[in-house]
Amino acid sequence: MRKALPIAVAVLCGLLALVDYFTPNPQINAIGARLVEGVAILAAFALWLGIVNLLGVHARRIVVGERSRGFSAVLIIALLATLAVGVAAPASVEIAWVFDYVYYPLQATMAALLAFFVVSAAYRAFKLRNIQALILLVTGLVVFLTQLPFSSAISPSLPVLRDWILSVPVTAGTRGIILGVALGTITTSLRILLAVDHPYAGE
Amino acid sequence: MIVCPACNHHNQEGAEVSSSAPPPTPIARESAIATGRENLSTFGASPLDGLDNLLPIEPAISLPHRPTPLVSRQPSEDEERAAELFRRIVTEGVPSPQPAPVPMIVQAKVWPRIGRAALYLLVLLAALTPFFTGGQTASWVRPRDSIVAWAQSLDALPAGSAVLVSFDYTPAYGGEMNPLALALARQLAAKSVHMVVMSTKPEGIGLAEQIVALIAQEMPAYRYGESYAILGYLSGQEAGLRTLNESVSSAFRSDHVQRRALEELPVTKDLATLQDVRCVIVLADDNDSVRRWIEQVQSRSNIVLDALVTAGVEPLLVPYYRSGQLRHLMGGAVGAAEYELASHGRPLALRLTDGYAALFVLLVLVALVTNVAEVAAWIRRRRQGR
Repeated sequence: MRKALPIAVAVLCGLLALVDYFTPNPQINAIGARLVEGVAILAAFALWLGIVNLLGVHARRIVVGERSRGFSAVLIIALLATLAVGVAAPASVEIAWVFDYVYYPLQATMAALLAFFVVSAAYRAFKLRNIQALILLVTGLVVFLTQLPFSSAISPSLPVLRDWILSVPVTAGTRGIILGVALGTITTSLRILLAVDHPYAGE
Repeated sequence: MIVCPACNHHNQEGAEVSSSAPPPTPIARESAIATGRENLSTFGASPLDGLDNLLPIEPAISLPHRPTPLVSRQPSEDEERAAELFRRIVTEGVPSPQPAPVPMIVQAKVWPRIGRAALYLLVLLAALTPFFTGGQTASWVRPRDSIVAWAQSLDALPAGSAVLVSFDYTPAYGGEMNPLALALARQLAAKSVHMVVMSTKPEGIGLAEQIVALIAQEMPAYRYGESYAILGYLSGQEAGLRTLNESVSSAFRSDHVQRRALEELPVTKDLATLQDVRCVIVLADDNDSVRRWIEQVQSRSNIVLDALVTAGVEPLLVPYYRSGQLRHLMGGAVGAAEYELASHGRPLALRLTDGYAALFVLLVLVALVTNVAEVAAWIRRRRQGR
């Protein structure tokens, strides 16, 4: 019963959501809307669950006295302080300060390091060892050149070339990826609807 | 004249039943009658008992239908393979995930540490170029026709109409996306178009607050609640967007800043569904966010959807743009600089074009130097070999 009930509920909900998508029946649509609203609420609760889990893991580290307990303490203090300010006054000056002067610079710094890695990677990737490396080098440079905001000033055919690259080879490859993802999604959904997989039961 | 006792139908003895059907052979006819008798014995007495040989079609119309034999067609090899594949796909257990191999970090031998430090220093110099040159290459930028058309379509929006703007990017891509967002907000505010702001990422709201705060400083007449509102973060990804598509007030009970019900704010009081906005503009740093908008909102409501994304994400969304699901798609720094020109906005991305140019020159130099050094080493090895 402990296994059968969650499976039955999941399959029923899944089938209802599927029927809701294809049927204009108002009763089924209303049930579907309720289910979707429930998912949104559950997702919000999952965030709380994540916070509680994070607090638990780091609190345990402090209690046990691990070497990294100092970092855990900083994490817990920062989390609780931000949470308290965020819940009390979500659009306050204080929370904006935390975002503007702590969170934003940290994330932007991490992303800015990418430029250094890209140049470092370019050094390795652009070595002309064989014909494939030559194609990679030429394509990379052409795409980069067309990405420059003033590429049309260099040559009027560069924006045309950029559009062609995006329209033909890139679209062809991307469509293949999208179709593959769609087929994978259908397969996964079918397995869950047929109760072959039950990830919701912790399996 | 023969009268059928079951239906009182009159028939001429020996009359042709069908001119096209061949007459049954005596053996076949006897066999059919015999089979009919067998069947009749299971169903009891028939009203046509005793009228054998009088009505030629009698066995065909009066006897119970015989079960149609099942046609046992052998499936082809392809069909069998497809059926087996389908069975395996839907019933096979999931293999236990293997731990991913940990890549070993190998110390680079070719590139000495000092060389790498010099390379990184050059990258830093390229990034700082705009501070020294002040955007010399900006005068070379020419906006593409598609971007000019989009800027004109926003210009044509009537004052007081509403546009939903979703800030679905993170601060990591703020450098690339903020110029786009700022140029968009400036153009909408200049035309007094109402802006309803939301995000499907928690960080997006902080970025939206930064942008609208700048606009509020520049244009004090563009007031919160009257001209624009921040609805807040929408959780639930697909489910959240689907709820929003059905009813805005179901997705957002109140606004993010003043915590007032949406019916109380002038800018959102007439906003029941997404059909009430002129278009939805998604600013995103990943293709999944835009894809969710297309799948859960655009394909269901057929609303006008525009996407302003990073340059890295743009190619992944081109198929949706080609299919018409996205009315407009604009990518990163190139798009931002062109859009600033097309919308006659203040130059922000335009001032950075020198940096992109410097970085491009650096990449070309790296590729050239690397290969020249590689060829020189190869020639040296050959000479030593001789």
